[in-house]
Amino acid sequence: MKKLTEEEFTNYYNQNIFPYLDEYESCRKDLIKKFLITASIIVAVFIILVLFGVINQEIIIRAAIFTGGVIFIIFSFFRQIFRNKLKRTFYIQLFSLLDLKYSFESSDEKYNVSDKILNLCKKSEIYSRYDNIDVDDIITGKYNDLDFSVYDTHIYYETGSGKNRHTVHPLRGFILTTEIKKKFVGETLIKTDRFLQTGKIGQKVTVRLEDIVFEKEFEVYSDDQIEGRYLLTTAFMNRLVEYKKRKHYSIEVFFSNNLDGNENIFFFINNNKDNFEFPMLKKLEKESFYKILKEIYDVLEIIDALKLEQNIGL
Amino acid sequence: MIIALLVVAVIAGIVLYSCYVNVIKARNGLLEAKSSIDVQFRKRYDLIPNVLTIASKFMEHEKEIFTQITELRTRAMNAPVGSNEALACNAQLDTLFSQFKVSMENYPTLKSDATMVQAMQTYNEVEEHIAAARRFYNSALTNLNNCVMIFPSSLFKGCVADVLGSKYYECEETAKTSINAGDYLK
Repeated sequence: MKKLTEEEFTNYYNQNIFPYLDEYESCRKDLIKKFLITASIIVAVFIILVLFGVINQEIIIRAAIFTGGVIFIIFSFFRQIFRNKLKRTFYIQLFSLLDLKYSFESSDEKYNVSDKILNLCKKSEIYSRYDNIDVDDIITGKYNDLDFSVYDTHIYYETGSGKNRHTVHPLRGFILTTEIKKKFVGETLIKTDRFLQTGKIGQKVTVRLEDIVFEKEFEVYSDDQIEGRYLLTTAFMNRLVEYKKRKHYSIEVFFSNNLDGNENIFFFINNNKDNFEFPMLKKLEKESFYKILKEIYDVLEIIDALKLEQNIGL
Repeated sequence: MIIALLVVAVIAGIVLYSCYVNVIKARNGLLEAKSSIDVQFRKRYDLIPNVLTIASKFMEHEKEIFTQITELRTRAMNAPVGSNEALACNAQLDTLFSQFKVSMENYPTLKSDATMVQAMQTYNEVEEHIAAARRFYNSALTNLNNCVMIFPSSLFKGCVADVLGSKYYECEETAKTSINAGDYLK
């Protein structure tokens, strides 16, 4: 992967993005304008209906909630169309500039990827519950001589009923998968330490490690005590703790050589945001695009932080 | 009153039994950890002849170290599993192999030989597995020590008398001495 400086990016932006941006910017403004006009009309209609006593207050609250929901769904639909158009036009080109391949939802590939992530969740047993898996952006390429894939992922489920119904998001961030230079067998899972965790997850049992700081932050499960410790050297534990402290992300890691026969490491990073997206309410400008590049650099920083490209026995 | 006493007795019985189970589990865990070190040692024994065969083609003036390594390997293999003799032999093997790696630095052709590079990579992996197995052993020993020192599981100390007094793995005295970088930069 190539890394662009801000100056290089500015040149690229001025030549390849800026000249075509007006059309999209007016489309974005138009969408927001339509949304605001529709919402204002509906609010006005409701006020008139209440003032003239056509409907009572009890009905109006329900009707307002229903109408608000409908407007939001319609707005989300058009927003998605707009975003997809933007991504199709600019993202593929932008990522290919870094020697990366970019794809996003809308193709059949998305269903394969969602299945793949579902399979990964089942295999790793990382989350005790998940009903829905949405994979939005997918970026693949090579970094520090390691093949990697990044999946912008949202895993969630609904719980409770009636007024207590709410959505739980075990993962709202991304999954990064990359090769690892160490040869290993079996599966090892590093989970964020939570109160009252079980001593066993499926076939994997707890691995108690000697690093007290690491043990406070994480719980480790492995199907082989020695392989678990072979992977989690003192240097690796230290680097992971440092990375977590620096980024303040909730991070979980899964090592496996069973998914496609290769030694892979999977990072489940919960940064609580929808990555690689444009803010709809802000003007489309250079910063909006540069932010996307910074996000991918930020994702790949973990490879540097954990020195995954090295096999120096640390 | 009798019922209350019975309830207390049953609860006490359950607590004591679970303590007994924990102590036995800790003992078995320690034995498992001990035998896993031996499994890793076996891998090393199998690998040493390959490394030496490749190296002997290039390192004609290092016969003495070859002989020492081979002798130690034989002694370690013949020593009873987990015995002090086996552990001592392996500790000496660690030291000798480190010396062997240092002397390899004088043979650039050997260092860059593809088969040797592969063999050394495998050897390093085995070394890392041995280190991991030792950490597993130390962790299992800590668990056992906690069990036999804390009341009420300490009541069952006698059940694990065969493994009491096991020692933690510590690095060799030679490894503890500080390294003078100047010696290597002359």
